[in-house]
Amino acid sequence: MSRRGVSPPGSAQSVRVAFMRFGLGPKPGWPVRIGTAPDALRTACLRELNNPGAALLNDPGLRTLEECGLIGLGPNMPGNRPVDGLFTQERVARFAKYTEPEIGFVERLVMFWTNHFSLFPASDFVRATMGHVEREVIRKHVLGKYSDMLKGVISHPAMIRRLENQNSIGPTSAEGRRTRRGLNENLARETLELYTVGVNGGYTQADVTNLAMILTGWTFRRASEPKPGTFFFNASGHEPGAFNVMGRSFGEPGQAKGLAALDMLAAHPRTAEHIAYKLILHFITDTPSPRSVSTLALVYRRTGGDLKAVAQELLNLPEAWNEPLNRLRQPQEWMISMARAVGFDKSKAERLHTRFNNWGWLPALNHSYWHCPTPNGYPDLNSFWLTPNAMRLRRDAAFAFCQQLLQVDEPWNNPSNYWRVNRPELTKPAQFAQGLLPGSLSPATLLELEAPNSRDDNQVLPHLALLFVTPEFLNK
Amino acid sequence: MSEHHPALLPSPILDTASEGCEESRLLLSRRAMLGMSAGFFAWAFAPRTAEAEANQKRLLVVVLRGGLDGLHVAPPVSDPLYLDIRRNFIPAQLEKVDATFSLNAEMTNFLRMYKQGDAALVHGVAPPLRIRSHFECQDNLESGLPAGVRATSGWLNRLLSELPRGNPVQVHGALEIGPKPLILQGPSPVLSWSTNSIPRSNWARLNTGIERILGATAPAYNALLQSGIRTDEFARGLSDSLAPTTSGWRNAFRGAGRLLASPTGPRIAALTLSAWDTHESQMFGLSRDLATLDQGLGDLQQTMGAAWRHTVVVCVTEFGRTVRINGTNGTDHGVGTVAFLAGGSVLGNRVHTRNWAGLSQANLQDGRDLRATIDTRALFKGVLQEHLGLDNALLNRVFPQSETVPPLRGLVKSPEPVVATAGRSQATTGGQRAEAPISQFRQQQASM
Repeated sequence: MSRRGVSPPGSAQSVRVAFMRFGLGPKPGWPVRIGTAPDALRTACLRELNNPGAALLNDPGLRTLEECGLIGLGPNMPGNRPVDGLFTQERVARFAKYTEPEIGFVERLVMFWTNHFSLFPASDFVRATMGHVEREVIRKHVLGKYSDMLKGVISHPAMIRRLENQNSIGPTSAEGRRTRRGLNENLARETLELYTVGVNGGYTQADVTNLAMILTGWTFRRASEPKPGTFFFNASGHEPGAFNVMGRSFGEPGQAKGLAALDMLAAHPRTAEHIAYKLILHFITDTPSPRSVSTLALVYRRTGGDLKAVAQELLNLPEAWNEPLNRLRQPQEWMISMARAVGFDKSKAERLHTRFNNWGWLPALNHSYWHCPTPNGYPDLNSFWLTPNAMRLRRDAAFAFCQQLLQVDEPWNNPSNYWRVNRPELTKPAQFAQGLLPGSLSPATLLELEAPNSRDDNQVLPHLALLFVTPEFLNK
Repeated sequence: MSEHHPALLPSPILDTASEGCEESRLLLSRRAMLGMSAGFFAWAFAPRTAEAEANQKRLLVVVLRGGLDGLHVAPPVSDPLYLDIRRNFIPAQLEKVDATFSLNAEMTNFLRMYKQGDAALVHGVAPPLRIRSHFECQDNLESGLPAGVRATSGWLNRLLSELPRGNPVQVHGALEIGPKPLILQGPSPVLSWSTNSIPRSNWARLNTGIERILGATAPAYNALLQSGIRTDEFARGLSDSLAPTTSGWRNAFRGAGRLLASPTGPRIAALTLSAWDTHESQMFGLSRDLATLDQGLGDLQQTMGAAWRHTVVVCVTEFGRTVRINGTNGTDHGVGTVAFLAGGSVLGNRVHTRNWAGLSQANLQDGRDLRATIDTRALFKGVLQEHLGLDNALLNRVFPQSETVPPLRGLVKSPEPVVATAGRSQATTGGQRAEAPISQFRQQQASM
């Protein structure tokens, strides 16, 4: 591999790699505090991984699965939809969390895995429970074992409902014989294709059907039952007998059969390769090198799918700290980083959620929050994000952010204006930008940020919006 | 200009068309990006009266993502097996359209177009890759490549690269509506527009500063930005007389119609509608979504005005569904399905089939799915040949390795004479691709 373009970890250049490629963007003061000692930035990323609670959401207002499920199953009529309030509450809690970490590597991992197991809130039940999956399964296992995350998600009522396994009945089970109902193979197919071995991973239609048989009976309690909304193994709908998936027979009793199949799939070498490939694709490059994919896959296999070890290795890949950064950051990462750049803290979370999401800014950029309509999640390839319309909308989103969140929401002449009080250095845009991305700004950017502004109604905000649409801030 | 656009057109479109400056800038910018000669883009300013009928052709490809159940749209009601297998899942209203098939009458606009001779069906169709994976089959449908060949560009994009210079479709370009589909990815630049929006920046400092910074440090970003700004300005200048709707699909059809109808707007557009994956309770959801699609087609016809006469709309999906109803009152991923054609140029009132396989157990694909006897590439090639007059040599460059898949015939009312083209072959299957790239990676590994 060429040495050209490789910046040694810890150099001033890699501030952008750490914060843009692996993080959620710099917060005022942090890049300077982390410093430019050799390896300081990678060490800061590792520090987040080594904090066992980094991913957890400790918001006592968030609800149990039973409470969420009840709301999802309960009446939600136009004009009175408790499910929408719950969905908003969950999402606001994430926007609060995003303002907190130093770099945000763990939060980016959570976003990656949430997209890997992409859910869509079209049904009220999924809407009510999808926050719970992210909170209690993905966040809990993001630095743990993939097999635990996989089993947790596939058995979660939100996923069962999303891929419609709740009514999938074994054809010769007691219930199948009585009702003549049968299989729904949706969850089984996507488990193979998206969540484990991946397409071309060596499975056949028979493997799909057999895994669907194995997963029959994985359902959740209905409104009329005790503990509504929670997972339930319905033995009377479970197809009896042993089934072969990818060369292994599973004959364990009841639910254990499915758990064993998921354990086998999580440990499969094709799954290791698939996950390694996806991580490199998301974080580093559109064209992962076979060598790095096998390096990362090997760590996955050696550690039994330890996602913390895999994330550490991701930071050690030869291309991890390569420059230039030439892929567009995805809209969610980029918009959250605008909020972090101006120093917003969690008190602004509700407002961020409303403006970014409900006002249509993220939807316009084709990146609605927790709202991808397809189970394969949002794509990672740059070509999906980099379009004429998207570039125009990035400019307008930077404008809308600065105008709405900094000028209208925080009136300029209000003495308690949040950012005026907290971030007086904002009045010197070039200096402010250099504090955020020390040593990383191009001469063209500095020239524009230093230019006087006589045509707009204030000196600062258009400059700030400008910073957000520079390649230095847009790219990862 | 106006003599070619009589009073049939809603007047705001006429107004915009006669202003003529925004769209010229749109094209100028795009050509500048391509680095083409001044003599070439001057074509865009040629008097409209000089344009022959052939220069008016429009093509919209609608990709229905999720796998549409062709047996619900156009069931073979003459087949007792259908009536038996689907007995509780037969659409409430059906209208017989030929000896074998009926059309789901919930699609009122499409049915009207069909009876007027402006719409047709193709039944028993599927892309060459038949593995029941949404994402792989969508990519295969949009790439236009043989089964198992990985895609990095889409066939509509390769079409732009292959068309002879000066061909009106190539000059006016293509448009993507909403998220970027693979079908339009590739080496040729395309315009993009979406129904969602964000307040437009009116800060001069920002608007000029971004151009200077990107111009100095990221010219490719700047070119995209300029194209995006101009398409948006152009689209804003267009309007129609339809009552506002909150349906994203219908607004997408209206936007596509307005942009396609404009004399100097794009001639090709692609839009994707995700739904159709009816594993559960399909009777309800499918009726609702088909009705919205149908309203969208009606809106499209209205917004296109006189240009509808020159239009072919092709609606395709990545696969059909299982013939039998599954355990949850829905259908699982299958193979063969239906495609629709609509538009004033379509030779309508017919169902195209080839060796219709029927629903007997022995004829089902893998004992479960409607067998596909028509390759979607045959449909696409047929539309391009008859609508745009393209010869087989060119079509086989747009659809590599498709020599054994001849174009379908009889799709268009007055087929354009086929003009032999000199080999241009700028097209490449290289570039960027969309989803599930692990498969591409694995294929490269296997071939090394």
